[in-house]
Amino acid sequence: MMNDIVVLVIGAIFVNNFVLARFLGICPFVGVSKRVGDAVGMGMAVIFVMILASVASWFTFFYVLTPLNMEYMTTIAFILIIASLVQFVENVIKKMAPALYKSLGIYLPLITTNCAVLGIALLNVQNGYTLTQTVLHAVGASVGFTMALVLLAGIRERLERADIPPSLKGAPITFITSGLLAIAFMGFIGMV
Amino acid sequence: MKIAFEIIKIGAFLMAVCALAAFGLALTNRATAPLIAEQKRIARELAMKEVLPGAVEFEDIELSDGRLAFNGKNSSGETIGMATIVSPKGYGGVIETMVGMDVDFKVTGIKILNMQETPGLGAKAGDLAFSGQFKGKTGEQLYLSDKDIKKGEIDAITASTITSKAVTDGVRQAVEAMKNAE
Amino acid sequence: MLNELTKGIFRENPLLRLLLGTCPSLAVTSSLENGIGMGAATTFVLLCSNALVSLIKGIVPSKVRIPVFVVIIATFVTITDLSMSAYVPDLHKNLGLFIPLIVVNCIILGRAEAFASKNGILPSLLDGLGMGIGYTLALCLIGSIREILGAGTLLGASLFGPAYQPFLMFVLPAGAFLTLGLTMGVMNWLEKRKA
Repeated sequence: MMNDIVVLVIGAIFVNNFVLARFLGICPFVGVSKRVGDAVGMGMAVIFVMILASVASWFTFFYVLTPLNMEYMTTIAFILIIASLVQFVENVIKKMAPALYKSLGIYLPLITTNCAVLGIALLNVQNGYTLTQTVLHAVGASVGFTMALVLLAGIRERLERADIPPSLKGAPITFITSGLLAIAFMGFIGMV
Repeated sequence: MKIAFEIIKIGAFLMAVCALAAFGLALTNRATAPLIAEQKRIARELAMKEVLPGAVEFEDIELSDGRLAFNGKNSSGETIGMATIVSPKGYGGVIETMVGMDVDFKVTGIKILNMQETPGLGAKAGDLAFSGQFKGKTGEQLYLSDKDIKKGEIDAITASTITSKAVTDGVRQAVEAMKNAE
Repeated sequence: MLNELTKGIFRENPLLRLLLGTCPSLAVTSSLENGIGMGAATTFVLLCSNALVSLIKGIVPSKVRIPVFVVIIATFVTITDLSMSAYVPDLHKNLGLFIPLIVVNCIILGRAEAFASKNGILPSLLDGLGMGIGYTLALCLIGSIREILGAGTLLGASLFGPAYQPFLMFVLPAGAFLTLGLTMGVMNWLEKRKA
């Protein structure tokens, strides 16, 4: 049992890292990784939304859609749940941390289109996880995302002072750097 | 009061759109569900022929634990083997595997029907280099040659011990289940 | 009119210039065939949603327009998902999770909000078609590079013979990032030379 938990969480953070191995959450990964501060803030918001969204969508799938034989409504239902949650989180952050709200700017509502959130909701029900496994998976995945995001932000802050060929400035060098990060993360593979 | 009315109007519009969407999708679902089921059936039959070479006819067997299993008969009508489907939990999810065995409970072949293992690593479980190892093995030999509770004869895929163990355990469970069902 | 169609292909290529739709571009481009399949599916959804959004733009209350667009897009995505599962099951299996994820492909919501909700049906269709083709071409480019270098095949056909040891890395995640980054770099460089 303990072994299962460890494999699930460690696996989601390192080996099957949502960004560097599963390619989920690339848009915010490239967009919000310019400053470490922004990355941390975005990461926290994503962790919160991912866990809530995973639980809400899990209940919806197993207690509403399946009994009614309406699995084909999964995509619609999940995306509406996520959109509502993000709206809710946005309002909360606006009231409680206006500075963070300002610096996240457009990226906060963009969590709705973050493939990582919809992705994990779908993966949870596809793999038939129990509620506990769902939460653990969500924790692992979002922490992994945040970690990758903060790592990249740290590197990009340094890159600002480096001499990069003009064609590669911006998105290209970010992707190349991510590729190198991905190679580094491949080293975790033997872990589990 | 006016604000409440606004909200109700907006909400109603969204619900109307959702209702239309649900209707449209229900229709699509009705049209495609039989095709999807047929695709699954064809894939299953192909898998059955692969794990029970020489079988031309298949007959469902009712197992006491509700598991899905079949007999495979050759062209003369004799039962040459059985097959069942196991779903061990792998690394990225469940690994749906069909296991075929002859009447002496020796594995005749396995086929991975569905899996979500890591490409380039666990996903290699579907390759013949790994899955072919199971042919001809009996229950006792169905353990990994390394890092398993008993020394068996299945070589794990490099850096994919979890996937390899899951499939190996699944195949062993299949053989044991069929033995106990007899 | 023609401009609406061609802008999506090079100048405003959604993936390589606007940086939209990056997740699938890394995940499903391990082979050219998958790239074509994903591009086609995305283009289909883009066309349908642009058309429908343009059609109903007059009657949608502004406050609720994003959720409405999302539901429309999600509906077409589900239709695509079910149809692919029924008619092209192998491709459906290869693209897997990323078919339902088309709904959060920023290209589609982006075009619905930025263009289709403000323009007529024909321009919206052309815009969708242009963006879709541009996206598909970008996916094919990356898919080809990754398949040729990473597996030594193209569309499944072996190019260099069985003795060729492919750069396995290219069909793995790291290679995806590198290929995309370098391709974008080359595109930028070409743009600069033209200017």
